[in-house]
Amino acid sequence: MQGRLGLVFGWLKSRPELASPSPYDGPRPRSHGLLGIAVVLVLGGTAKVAQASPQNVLGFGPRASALGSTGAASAEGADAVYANPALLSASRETQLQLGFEGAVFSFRAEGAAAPAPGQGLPFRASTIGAVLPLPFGGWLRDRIALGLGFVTPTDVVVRARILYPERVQFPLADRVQSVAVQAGLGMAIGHGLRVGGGVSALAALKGSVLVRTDASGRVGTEVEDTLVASYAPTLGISWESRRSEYRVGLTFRGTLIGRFNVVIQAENLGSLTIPPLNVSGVAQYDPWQLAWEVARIAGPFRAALGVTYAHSSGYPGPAEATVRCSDAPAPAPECQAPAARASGYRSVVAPRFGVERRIDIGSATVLALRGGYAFEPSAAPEQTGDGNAFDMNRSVFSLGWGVRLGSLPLSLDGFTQFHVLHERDHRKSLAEGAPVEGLARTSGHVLAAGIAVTARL
Amino acid sequence: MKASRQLGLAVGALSALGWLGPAAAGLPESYGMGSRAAAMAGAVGADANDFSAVAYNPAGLVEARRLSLSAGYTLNRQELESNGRDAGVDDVRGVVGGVVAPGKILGLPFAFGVALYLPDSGLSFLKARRQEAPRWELYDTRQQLLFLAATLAIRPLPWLEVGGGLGYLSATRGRFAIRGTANLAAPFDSSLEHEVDADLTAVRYPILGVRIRRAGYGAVGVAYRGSSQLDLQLAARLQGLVELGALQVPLVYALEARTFSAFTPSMLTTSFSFQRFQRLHVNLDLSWVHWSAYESPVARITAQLAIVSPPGLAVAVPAAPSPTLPIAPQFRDRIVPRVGVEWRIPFGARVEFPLRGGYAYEASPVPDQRGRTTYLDADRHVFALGAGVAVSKLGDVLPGTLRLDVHAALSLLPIRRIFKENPADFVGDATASGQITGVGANAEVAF
Repeated sequence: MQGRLGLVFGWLKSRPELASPSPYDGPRPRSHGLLGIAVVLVLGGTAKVAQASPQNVLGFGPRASALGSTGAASAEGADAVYANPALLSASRETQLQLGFEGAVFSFRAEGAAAPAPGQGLPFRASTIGAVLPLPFGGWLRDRIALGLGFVTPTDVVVRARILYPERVQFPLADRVQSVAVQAGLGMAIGHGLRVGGGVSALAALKGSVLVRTDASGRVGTEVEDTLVASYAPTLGISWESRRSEYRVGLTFRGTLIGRFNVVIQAENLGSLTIPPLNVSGVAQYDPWQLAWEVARIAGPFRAALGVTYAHSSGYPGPAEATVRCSDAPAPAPECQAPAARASGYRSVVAPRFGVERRIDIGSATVLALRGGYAFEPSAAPEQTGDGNAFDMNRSVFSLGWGVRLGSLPLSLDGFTQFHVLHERDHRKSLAEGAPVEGLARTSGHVLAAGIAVTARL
Repeated sequence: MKASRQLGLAVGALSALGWLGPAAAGLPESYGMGSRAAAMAGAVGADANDFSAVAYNPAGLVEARRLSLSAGYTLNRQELESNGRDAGVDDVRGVVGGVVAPGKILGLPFAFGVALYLPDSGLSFLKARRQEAPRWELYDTRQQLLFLAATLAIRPLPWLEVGGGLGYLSATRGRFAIRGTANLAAPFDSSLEHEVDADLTAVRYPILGVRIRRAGYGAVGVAYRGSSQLDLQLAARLQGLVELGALQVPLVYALEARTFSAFTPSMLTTSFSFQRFQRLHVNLDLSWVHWSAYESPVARITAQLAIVSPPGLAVAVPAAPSPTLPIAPQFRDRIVPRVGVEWRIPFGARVEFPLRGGYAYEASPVPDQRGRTTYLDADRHVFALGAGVAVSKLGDVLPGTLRLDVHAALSLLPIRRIFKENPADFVGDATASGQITGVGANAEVAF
């Protein structure tokens, strides 16, 4: 038994020196190693996306956001909480990151059947990230780190906006309006292997309203509602080449649903029966995702290339049925209460890449210049009927910079993203329930930017 | 038209709905943040350097020397009575924990802390009741709230520590609507749909602290927590047809409601920690609690009902419900004294056993309830005990300290009698009394 443990510990002890350095580690010797980079680009075509939380749309952390929202193999510091918690274990310093980010949305709708478009509310949020390497000793030395990540919009915690289907909606703008709470733990196993896990949280609501006559004969109400947290796991794994020049990463993020469900019930109202009224729906939805990435993580030139599969076909749609046949006290086979509309969403694959150039500008100060691109196919179906919830394919162009000060334990990072919402035709049909026959062509753009300061304690 | 009225009432009932977000309220104040603080009846404002300092005085964080992670659980059984019978107030229980990360920035000691209380019942819980209904307002759902705060601390001078941060709350503003046709003969054939446009809005309140230390004597601290409450603004609209046999009656029901809930008063605490004797800490906290700012939790409701009578059918339109006029609760400010003692008994070079005790007295801020409202409350005496074990240098893997703490607390609320001015009052004369028993445990790893 001791022998087995010894083998395990021996394996764990191996190669700790190859742990990836902390962010902005300055220029490193040029690498002569080579690892083949697999390139897989699977475009979603005309598929669509159930985008939700801000980190899902803009990325988490200024560096990852500047690199086309990559990170499964390339994330550094607190960015790894979302991108791949396994990479938290690469951090050697306690870091606290405070930042601010924002986005503005512009949408267009043209054509004979186009309704008047609306402008999405601007998004503004403060961000907090922290990495805490746990200073164990012995065989656990420099192996485990804890990470925290928060995105807190300045004026909302969650936006629950589930509108009648004929109202003009661009869900992309509404669904970034949500707080993001993330925590993760990463561990360096040895031999270049890292594993990690974490959790993301979102608020969900359940409640009831009971209307009934009380002992005095008066109609009264009893209201109970509870805000609960819904959680989704994040799991990550990565492997580095022998000289820690290249890394492959894989991240799984579970489905994160912010659902609300308030049921209005009436009792003891004489002969009158009022069915339970379900004011219910899905306010926020992140489909489960699988992100794969390969990255060069050493030297002055660094790059990441990856794809993200999002299982958007699991999206049930925003609104649930107000009156449900299943609530009837007795089986009612001829019950005609309308059912909820199916979302019609489909799963998509998004390719992304990012490049970074690090320049030593003297006095141990390092400047990093970054750029990236991602293509985010839309998961929403074409709006051919009376529905007007529009979504389009997005091309995300990103730029960023970073400065690690040599004289102070501080780093500054910034990013800018420009999302092009590609033109999309919606062929409205009377047969599908549209009020008018014709074409509605939608497009738009999103401009986002952010800045953060990181202190190394 | 009774039917349409009742359908309207069903929608109107949502007026009292509160959609709450991450919130902060009474756990640190009422039951202690972590077992060490709970065992000293919360008298740790000048003597906390673990995650509980986030709630009591964030300046103390900078005294922490090592990165620490804490996690624990607390259970508080609220056996509160009205007229000698159980008032049905829920227990307060959940996970307590936090992180403290010390370091240096620009050569100055610095620390970052996060504290969390996550109730088992959810992030928040709200019950809305009629204004006349008796309620243990300070102990009921107000305690069922998440506490989440993040703070920073720095020591600019060797004797001066300063800290501050934010606690988080969420209020609600929004509207919802239901439209379609309600079939009264076959209710489950009703063709209705709804929409919701609501925001859980962020509310932040400050937590600030200053501490002055003198080696060998102890510390004096002042901490301030801002007030907070959930301002719930909701609008509802029901528009559609009510089917009465072959007749279809158009109906519009509009309602606006505003409710203040989960009020947490601002609080200013002056703390003393006497540490002249080695291994003995004697603490005194005095908190001024601004309860007079408390607003009525009763919903302010306005509603309108409009019905278009079909030709040839005389429909008596019911009068719109009278607007609810909340009665000001007129709570009083109070000063809460807390004392706590900790004696750390060494056992060898690496182990020590802390023993703790504490007492607090919370005078009720609720005035005599002679009118329509019946806010139940009584003075509260808190007796607390606790113990722990701290082991240092647990081998190569954990060179720091592992600490385990437990506590038990008993709160006694002596009987309080309520006499109504109106002999025909809906509630009548009443009594309020009870006791609260609390237990908990925390584990902390300091690296």
